[in-house]
Amino acid sequence: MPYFNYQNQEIHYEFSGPEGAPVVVFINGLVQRAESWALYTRAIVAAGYRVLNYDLLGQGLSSKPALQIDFEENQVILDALMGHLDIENAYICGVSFGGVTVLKFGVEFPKRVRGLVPMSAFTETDAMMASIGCNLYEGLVRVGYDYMIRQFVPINFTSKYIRDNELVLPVVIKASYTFNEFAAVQNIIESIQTFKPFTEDIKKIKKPTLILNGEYDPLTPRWCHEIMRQNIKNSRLVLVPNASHAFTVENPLLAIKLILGFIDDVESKTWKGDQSTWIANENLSSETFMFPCKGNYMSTLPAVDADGGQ
Amino acid sequence: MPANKQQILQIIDTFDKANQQFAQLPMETRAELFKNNVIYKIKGKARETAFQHFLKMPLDSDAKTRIALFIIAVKGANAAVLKNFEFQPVDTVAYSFLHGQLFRELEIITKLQRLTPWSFNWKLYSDAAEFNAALWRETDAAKYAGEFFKVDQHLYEYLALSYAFLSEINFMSVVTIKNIDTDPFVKLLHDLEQDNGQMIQTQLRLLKDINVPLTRAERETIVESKREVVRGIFDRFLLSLCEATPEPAQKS
Repeated sequence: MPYFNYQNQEIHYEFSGPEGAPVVVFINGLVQRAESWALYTRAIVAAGYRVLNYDLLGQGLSSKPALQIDFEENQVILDALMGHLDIENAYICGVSFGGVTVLKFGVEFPKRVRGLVPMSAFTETDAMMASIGCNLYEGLVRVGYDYMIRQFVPINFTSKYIRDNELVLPVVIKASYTFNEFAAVQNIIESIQTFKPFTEDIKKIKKPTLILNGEYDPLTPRWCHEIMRQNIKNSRLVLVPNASHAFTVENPLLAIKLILGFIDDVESKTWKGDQSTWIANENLSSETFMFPCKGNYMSTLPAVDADGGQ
Repeated sequence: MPANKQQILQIIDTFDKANQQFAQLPMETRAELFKNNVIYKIKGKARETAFQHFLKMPLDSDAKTRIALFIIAVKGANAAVLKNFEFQPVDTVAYSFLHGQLFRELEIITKLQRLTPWSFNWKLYSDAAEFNAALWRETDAAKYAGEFFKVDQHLYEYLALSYAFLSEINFMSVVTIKNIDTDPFVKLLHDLEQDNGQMIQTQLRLLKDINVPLTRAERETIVESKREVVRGIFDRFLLSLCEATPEPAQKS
C-alpha cells in the first residue's frame, strides 16, 4: 500500500489508471476511506482517466494524530500529495467534509485545478447544522463510536435506502471499526470547531465547478449549495432526485454519470458555467444527463398567490 | 483517449446491469455477500494477522481466557495508578473524572472475571503472568503507581500512557464481527471498548489543555512514544493469540 510522508505523518493513497490521462481526485467524507470510492474508481478508470483516492489525516490507513488535526491543513496536504505524484492539475471531487476541502482547495490552489465537484458541501453553517453537529459529537463522546455512526444513517440516506439495506447497514457499521479510530474521528470533528464561513472566498474560484446536492439532504440542505451557485461564476448546480446527503452511496452510478459528463464537457470545451440549475435525470441509460430546473427550487411548497391560488 | 458521452453511457450501462442483478437477490443474500466481500484494511502486520486468524478460527474459551487476562492486567495497571488520585486534593475538575475512571476500570475487571468462560489450561495463566510482568516493565507503570502527582511532565506522561491503554488496545477491530450479538463475551468486549471511548475523553481533554510547559509538538511526541510502547505490547499479544494454544507441560 503506497504512503506519502507529509511532515512525519503517513498519508495512504491509491493511484490508478492510464499514465498521462487527466486525473480525477476523490476526497472522503467524515468516516469514509479511500476504498469508499472503489466503484467510482473502476468506472472512471474504464472511461480513460486516472483516479487518486486517499485517506485524510486521521482516517483509514493514514496516520491518526492523537491530539490535534488542523482542518485548514487538508487542502495543503492534497497539494503536497499531488506534487509528490507529479500531478500538475486534476478534477477535484469530494463529498460532505471532503466537499468543503474541494472548495478550499479551489480557492487556495487554482493552478492545481481542472474542475471542481463539491458534493453535499457547505461554506457556512446555520443553527440547524450546528445543532446536528453538536448531537453527533455528543453521541460520539458520551455514548460511543457506533452510536454516532447510527446517528448518521437517517441523515445520510432516504427511507427507501434504509429499508432496502436494513441488513447491510449494520455490517457497514461494524466493518468501519476496522479502519476508523474513535479518538481520530473525534479529532477530525473537533477540527471543524475552528471552521469559519468562507463564502466570500469562493468568489475567487474561476475553474469549472459542478455543484451536486441531494434532493432530501437534511445536513447540507439546498441553501448551502445555492450559495455556491450564486458565488461561483463558472458553476452549475445539479439537484439529485430521491437522494439524501450521501447520494454518492445511494445512487453512485448517477453520480458517476454526472461527474463523467461534466469532465467530458470541460475536456471537449463544451462546458457552460452559466450558474444555471438542473435536475439530474435518474434514467441512467438516457442520453439526456439532466433537465433544466424550472420554478422555485428553494421551496418545498408550491407558490401561493395573495388569494390562495397556485 | 477519455470516453465521450456515448461511451460513458456504455460504461454506466455495464455497471448498472451488474447492479440490477445484485438488487434482484433477496436482502439476506445481499447482506451475506456484502459481509463476505466488504474490504477490510487493517494497518499493522500483527493486527492484520490477528484479523485473518479470527476470520477462520472461532474465539474459543482458551482465546477468551487469554484476552480476558490481558485486559485485566492492563486495567489493573491503570487502576493501580488511578488510586493515587484518591489520596490527593479533590478540588480540581479532573478529580471527579479520574475518580470515575478508577471505578469503571475496576468494574470492567469484575465483568471480565464473571463473564469469561475460563479455560482449564493452566499454561495460559502462567503465560499471562509473563505478559503482565512485561507490561509493567515496558510501560514503566510502576513509576507512576507509587507517588502523588503534581501538574507537570510526569503527570502528562502518565496521562499519555493511560490514553495509549485506552486507544491502542482494541480487540473489536480484529476479532470477528459475526457474533457480536450472540456471544456474551464479544458483546462485553464491544461494551468495554465503548467504555474506553467515553473514558478517553478525560485523557484527551487533559492532554490537549493541561497547563504544563510543553509545546504541541512535544505533547504529540510524548503521546506517540507511549502509544508505540503499548502498541508493541498489544501487537505481540495478538501474534501470540494466533499461535497454537500452548499445551500444559506433561508430567514426567
